[in-house]
Amino acid sequence: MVRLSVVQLRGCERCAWDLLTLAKNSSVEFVSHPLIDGGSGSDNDADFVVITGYARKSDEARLRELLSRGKKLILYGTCPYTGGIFGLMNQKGADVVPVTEYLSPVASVLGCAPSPDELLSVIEGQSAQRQPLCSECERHFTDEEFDKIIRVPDWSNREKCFNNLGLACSGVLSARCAQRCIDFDTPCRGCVGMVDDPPGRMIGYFGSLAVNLQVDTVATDCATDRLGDRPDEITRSLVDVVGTFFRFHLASHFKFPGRNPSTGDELADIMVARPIEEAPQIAATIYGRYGISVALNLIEAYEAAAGIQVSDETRELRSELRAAQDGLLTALDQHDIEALEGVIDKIRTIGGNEVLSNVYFGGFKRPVKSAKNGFDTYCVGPLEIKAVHARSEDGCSRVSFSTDEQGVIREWSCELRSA
Amino acid sequence: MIVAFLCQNCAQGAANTAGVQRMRYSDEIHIVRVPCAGRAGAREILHAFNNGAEAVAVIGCCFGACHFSDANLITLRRVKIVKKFLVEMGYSTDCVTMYTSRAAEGDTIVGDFEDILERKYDPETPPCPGGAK
Ligand code: SF4
Repeated sequence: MVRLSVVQLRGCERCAWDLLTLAKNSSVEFVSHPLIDGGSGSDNDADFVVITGYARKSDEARLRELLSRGKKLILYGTCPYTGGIFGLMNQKGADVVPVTEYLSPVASVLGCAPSPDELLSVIEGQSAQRQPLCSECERHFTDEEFDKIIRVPDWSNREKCFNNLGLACSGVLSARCAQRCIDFDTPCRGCVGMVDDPPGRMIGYFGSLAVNLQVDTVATDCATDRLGDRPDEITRSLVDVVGTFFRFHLASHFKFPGRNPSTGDELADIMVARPIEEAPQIAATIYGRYGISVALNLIEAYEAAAGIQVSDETRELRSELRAAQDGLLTALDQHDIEALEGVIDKIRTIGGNEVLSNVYFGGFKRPVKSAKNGFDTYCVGPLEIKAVHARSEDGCSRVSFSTDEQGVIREWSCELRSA
Repeated sequence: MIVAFLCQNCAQGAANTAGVQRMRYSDEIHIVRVPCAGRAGAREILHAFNNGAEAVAVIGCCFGACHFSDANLITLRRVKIVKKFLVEMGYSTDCVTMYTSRAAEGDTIVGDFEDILERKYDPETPPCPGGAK
């Protein structure tokens, strides 16, 4: 029997509720878990303290206190390890830091979110098996350079690697993970890095495939050349370098806070400056237990504003997801672990994974097992990128946002409604 | 401190020529010699910033004259992505730039150094990550 104490720092709590599903396992006992006892339990008897969530500089005292208790610490999820997706707040001047700045864990289980089974095997002393993600991808990479950077894949081409098609995919330097976005035509953003400095390496790799793109240069006084600052093919088509290459590594790989003004709302600071095509998954991730509702409202708001039609089957599947949203809130409120497991399964069945990689504008990217009609009745179509003001609400959240003509979110507000 | 990555062919050659000609350049410039401009990419540039560089320059051979096929053209794209990154973070686009030079002409590289300094101290633009303006 291994006794675990779970410490949730800040963030979406998905890792914490995933861990809760281990409670059914007879070899695990939680001496303290934030979703059961609100973090008031004592870790005196714990064999391991499992840390999830991200930290800010002001959490230093708490982390040092944790360290001083002399327990074996395990980091669970990408957030404590690198600041995770919440590190994107640093673009607007926040001070998210990896907790490894203050303490050294005995092990880290990476992923956004990882699988609780990986934690068990780490506890049993097996070292994490880090297989390259590309080795499991149905796409194949070559050294072929692209002629154009694209933002939404061509849904009919599933043979070529995203990078060869001109859509950055960090699978080349990431390990196999629990969410497997790539199975749902969603490029990897690297939550389980396999190398040091993933953003730097990824820019290097993508930049070398971009050699056919026009780039601005200026002549100097000595008749040599200087890289120019005017907009060119690269700056026009890579609308979000921070969110694409630093999605999970901004806090750990760039130590200066961004100089952009904060919106005053931490999660809005993450959403602003993200391109619309990446936004649903980001929203589903960072809004935690309300993620389904916020992501669906975002999608439906944009569809209504941009005139994208959706089929009845798509609507039907989305309402099943909304039912799962309600089920999740209830299961978490009532600490009902069996119900929680059922809901997570349902979210995976329809949404593809816990961060909804399969849910998109206009429909679903891949067939859903529980659908009543054929895939052609609910599959995604092309996504038109345009400037919109959009809003939508349901029983759990109200979302309103605007995008600029490049389809980048410039204003974002989201109100959550507790039951 | 300004970190300048100089390729060992044209850029370092130009710096050597400048030395032989006794040309002056600012002691703010710290030269890091690299085999090819293609060796200095986003990793090296970000590493320089994270360790205190106020501005970074990558200087290679003229286009078409790279001693390793076309690595300077690849670096040009990589540096442009890093430039965009810094702008998205709210910093000056001038914090990092790529130049070319000719080994036989010392003034090509001294001119580049002067250009970097001028940009770094331009009061009209936002600051660079490591540097107050
Ligand atoms: S980089 Fe991405 S798309 Fe390409 S093979 Fe790897 S996982 Fe698949």
